[in-house]
Amino acid sequence: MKNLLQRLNLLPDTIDKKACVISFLLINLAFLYHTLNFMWGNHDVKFIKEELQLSSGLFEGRFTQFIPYRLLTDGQILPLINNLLGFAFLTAALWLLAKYWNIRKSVLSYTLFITFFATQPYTLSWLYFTFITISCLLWTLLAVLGLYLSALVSKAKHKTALCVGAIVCFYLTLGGYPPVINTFFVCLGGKLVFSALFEQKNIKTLWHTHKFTLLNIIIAAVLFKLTLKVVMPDNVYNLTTESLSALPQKFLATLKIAFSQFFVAVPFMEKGYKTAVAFMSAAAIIGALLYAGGLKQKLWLAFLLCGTVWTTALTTFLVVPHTEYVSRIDFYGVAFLYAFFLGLLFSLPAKPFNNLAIIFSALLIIWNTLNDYRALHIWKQGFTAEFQILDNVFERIETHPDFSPDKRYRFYQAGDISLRPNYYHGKYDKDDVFLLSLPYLAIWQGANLHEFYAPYEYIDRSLPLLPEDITPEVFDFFMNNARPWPHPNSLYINKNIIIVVYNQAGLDDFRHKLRLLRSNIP
Amino acid sequence: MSALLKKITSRKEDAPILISVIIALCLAFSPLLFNFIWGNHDWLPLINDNRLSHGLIEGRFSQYLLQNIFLMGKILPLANILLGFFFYTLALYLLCRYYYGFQASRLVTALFLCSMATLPFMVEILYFHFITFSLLSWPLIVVLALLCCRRASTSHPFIFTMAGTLLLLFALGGYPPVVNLFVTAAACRLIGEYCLENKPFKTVCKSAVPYLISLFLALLLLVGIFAWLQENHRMLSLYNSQASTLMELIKKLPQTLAISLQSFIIPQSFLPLPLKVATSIAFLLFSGLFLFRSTSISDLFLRILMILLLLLAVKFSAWLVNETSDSAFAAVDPAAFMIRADFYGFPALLLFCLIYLHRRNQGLKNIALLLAVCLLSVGIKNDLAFAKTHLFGFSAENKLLERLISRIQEHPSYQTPQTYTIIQAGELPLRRKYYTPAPHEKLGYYTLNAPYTRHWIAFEYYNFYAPEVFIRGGTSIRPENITPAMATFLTEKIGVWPVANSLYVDDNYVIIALTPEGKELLTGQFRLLTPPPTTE
Repeated sequence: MKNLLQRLNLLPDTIDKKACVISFLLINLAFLYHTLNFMWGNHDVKFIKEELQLSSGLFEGRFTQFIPYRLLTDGQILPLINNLLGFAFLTAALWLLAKYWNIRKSVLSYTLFITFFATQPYTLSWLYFTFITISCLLWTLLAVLGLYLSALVSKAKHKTALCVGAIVCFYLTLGGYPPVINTFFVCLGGKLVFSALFEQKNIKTLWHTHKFTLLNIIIAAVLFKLTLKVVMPDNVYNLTTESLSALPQKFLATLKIAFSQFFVAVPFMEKGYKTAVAFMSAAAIIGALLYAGGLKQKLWLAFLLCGTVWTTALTTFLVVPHTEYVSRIDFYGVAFLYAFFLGLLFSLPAKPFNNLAIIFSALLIIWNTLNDYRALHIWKQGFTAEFQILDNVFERIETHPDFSPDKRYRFYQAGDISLRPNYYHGKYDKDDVFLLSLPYLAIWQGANLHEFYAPYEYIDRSLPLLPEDITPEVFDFFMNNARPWPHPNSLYINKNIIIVVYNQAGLDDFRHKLRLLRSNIP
Repeated sequence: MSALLKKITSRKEDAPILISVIIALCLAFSPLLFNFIWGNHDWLPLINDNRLSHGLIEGRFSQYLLQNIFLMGKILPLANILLGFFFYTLALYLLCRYYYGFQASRLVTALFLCSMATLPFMVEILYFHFITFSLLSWPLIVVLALLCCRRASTSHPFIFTMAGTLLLLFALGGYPPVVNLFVTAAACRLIGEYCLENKPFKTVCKSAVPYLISLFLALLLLVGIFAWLQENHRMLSLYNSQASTLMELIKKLPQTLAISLQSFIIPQSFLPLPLKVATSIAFLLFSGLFLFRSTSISDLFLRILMILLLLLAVKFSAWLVNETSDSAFAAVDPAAFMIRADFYGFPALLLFCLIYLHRRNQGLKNIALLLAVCLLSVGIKNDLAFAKTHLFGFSAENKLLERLISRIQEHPSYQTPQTYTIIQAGELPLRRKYYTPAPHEKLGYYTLNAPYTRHWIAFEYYNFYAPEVFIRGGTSIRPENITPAMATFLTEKIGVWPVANSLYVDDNYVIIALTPEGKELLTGQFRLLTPPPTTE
């Protein structure tokens, strides 16, 4: 093992070890409140109580998603270890990325580079759902490892072994969360810039070195698509890809999106923060262009930089659903782009740029941490507030004269309540569901949520509401008397069904469904 | 003692070992360190502290001594567990380095100790806050007793044997099953002298004398103290303080050995099959090698006896205790499989097995290291899984308690200021909801099944968050207080929670039928209390 690592130049030296340990501690400090408070998102309710199975992600084509959980925690979502393992993988990934890009090496530069990336509020988006935290942070390590191995192929003796290793890395990550493809290309773009700028490599040499990377990614992508044919996932929204004919038109749109990301404020990354990061990026670009010799090289470099920026929107380019300005997807793209610019600043030979890198990264790490703690404080308040409503709803159910814990009721939750935004006072251009607005009391998790703390199992999960449940009395109640929570008429219970109305939109939607159900009754 | 202290303080290079063990323990149990949750006996001690005399009722005369010395008898968040971890870490370190005499690199020692410290045998000890600190500190006292007995065979035999006896008695007075640690570690040490230090059997027997004297004297004194306390009405004759007679001990020997073997195989809550397999491999490899190295038939016979002695030692307290006095409570969780008692036997035995393997060739060394890594990873995972069920179960039962209180206080007959005797019929333990047991797993009582709200101490938790005391002590209905309304409720109207007529409130009593079983028991007892008039 030691020999293998040595041959791959992966054996960490003292600087590496020091930087990794310090970064890991700083990252954990930035998210300590989350680690110690064991909060979870709306997808986690059932999994946190039971276990994750290998097959749990198959329905949406994520066939490798839960392999790490089965291997590391026997499929359990455990407090503390979930975050610790995730951050350990992320730290390793960023250390490897620093090596891959060949960022100027020192304890300070590596530490600031790793910590800056990991503390960005984009990382929070992977903490919201605890059932994928470990996997989705591990994918970053595998993605960078795949790139690192691919970069070694051109000069290595055992080309096939390295290619197979890289393909496995890419394939596993794509099978776990396909938008990780952004990472492949942002990091590859970054590598091309670093090579062109600091190693004075021309197009030909770059192609000779990195053609294997492209080849490995393509093979992994083909294998991924073939596996999807075998797995046959459900027809879910997040697997629909654009047709080839639509791509040219979408190119310009995504180019605009990619560049607008520098200015579009999202929750916990408001205008001021975005501007600061944009300044850091601009400083890196100016520095690189100044350092590049000759107009030809400057133009070539500008082209590579533009290409790298565009790759942050690659997923948006390839798929039908709108994925722009979504924090968890931007984690695999924009966050890496910012890290790339920081790495570039650190690596420029001119001292002022290095100093700028230190100042920017130190400032941004503090800003990141403050934003993370703001977010975690808001998450905690939202979590507590929403679960208090759940307690109150359950108390009403329990005291209802028609409720018996020995029976099984068909359950429906009309609408949901999201309370995290109540505690947030920042301004943003685009909302982000994972960072702020997604409710814990999600409409489709009603049954799991209402039974989570209840002493009994009283919900019949085998059947939804049936047409025969909509008696004239039920129909009349919801058409005329029902009101959203906390009105007394927000809860309806009879001997067969329990219906909770959380908001007006949910009630309107439910009324619409009732009319449809009613019209289907002969 | 001062020489030992000097020796320890002079080994500053071992500080990282102690620090890594404490860090490993803190990581494995961090949710319990940073979330102040407690078990069903803790409600009152949390408010009133642990006084020195509080343990006397079950003969535990020294139970709160250390807690009063170090924490003023208070149950403090973080400090309670952290201090316990420190004492336990020190105990393991002394056991490993000075008692078993294990000399290896810091990394290996730290790995072995971390893997032992984080074994999930500890989870049951962390369930009750009021005894966490004392239960975690007894190993240190016992290890000091062992070190004294070891020293007795070389110098000042009388002084060191007496010191060992007193220390052991002090620990036994806090929690008698700590005897497992004394017997197991002593047996391991003596076996080590025989097989690793190649001492003649006679010398080993000579070394055993101080241990035997200490054990015998300490147990004798303990029984004497129990008798004295009972005679003075300080101690109740409870299920957990009854010893077996000599005949019973002989009769129970095969059964205890069988239970001991089963403990290596049968998965228990938070002690899953992989952990049992790893412990079995460690023990089997040690036993196999130990037997393989026998030089003659008589030596083989002797070695077999030694292994049987080890098996008996890890279940020594279960062997001593009288099972005939089992109450319904003890029957749910017989002492034989109580992991709180195993906490004192198994880690010491496993540590010895790992040390034994590590002292052999490179292959066995690697196996020992691999086993330690496996135990560490499975241990931490299951410690955290326990913490998770503890957190969720505690929340779920407290939410139920809040609903019960609000229902009582909304009842039309409820008046303030007024105090009531509460009769809670049944209990609803909810921790199991958050745990998926493995097939054929032996469910633990305190690890998973015990409710946070025991019906017989209802006044403790109903008053816990109340602005004023509204429930008084006592859990029985006095015949003179039975009203026709209560009789009608208990014989005709009573339903099971959460229906409206699961609750009855009058001027004196609050009656809640929480479960169907509880309701049946209560109505059955009530019928006995008020037999129907006989027609002559």
